[in-house]
Amino acid sequence: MMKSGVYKDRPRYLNLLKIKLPITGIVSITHRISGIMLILSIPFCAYLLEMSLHNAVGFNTVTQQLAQPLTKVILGIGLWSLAHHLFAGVRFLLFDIDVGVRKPSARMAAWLVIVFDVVALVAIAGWLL
Amino acid sequence: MSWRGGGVRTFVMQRLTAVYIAIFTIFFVVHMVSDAPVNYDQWRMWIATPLVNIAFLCFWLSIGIHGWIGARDVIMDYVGDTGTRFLALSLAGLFLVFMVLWLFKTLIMVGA
Repeated sequence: MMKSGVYKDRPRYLNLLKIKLPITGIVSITHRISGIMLILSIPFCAYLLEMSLHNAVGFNTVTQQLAQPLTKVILGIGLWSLAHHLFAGVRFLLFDIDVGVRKPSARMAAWLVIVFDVVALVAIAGWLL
Repeated sequence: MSWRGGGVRTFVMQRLTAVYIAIFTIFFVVHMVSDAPVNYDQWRMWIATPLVNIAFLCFWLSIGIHGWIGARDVIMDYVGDTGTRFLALSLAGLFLVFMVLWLFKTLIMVGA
């Protein structure tokens, strides 16, 4: 946290519900949240990969496990996090080559990320169900 | 700007790993949707193919590097207390090293 005694009366919205982020801010913070979720998903990926490659019994256990409704929901959340992290990440990479840096195009690209998210959600749901 | 001190190396590594992860992810998803392995032998043989095996190893190494830079940025932004920050960074680093070594072991045992 930054320590500053200059602006003592500045608004400090520690109540998260009172913070109203612009669309660019939403894409930014959800990029971080999805990134953290993806890091936390690594042990599950490692476990599934190890078991599926161990022997035929392990492979069948993994495919059966992946067909369970609860696993499908978790997998769906993981895949959607991956999709969002990828789309928002491409937007940030384009910033590096000076594409979409100005405010109107930055906002439009952020909305485009949301559109891609919705498409990905429909695709993931269709694939899993 | 210095390559070692100014964070340029970190910046470049984050971007390079991002591009590799993106390309590999698309390759993996396309394979799983178009030509999903139906049994153990098919799955194992695909992962054991030298190029695929190397591509997987590079992917998890990139995940380790990219995940470390991301976790480091998030922890440094939100954890102010030096002791807590040190602990959080240590745990995140240990976790990622552990995960990458585990995945490497699995992939190398199949590929060897």
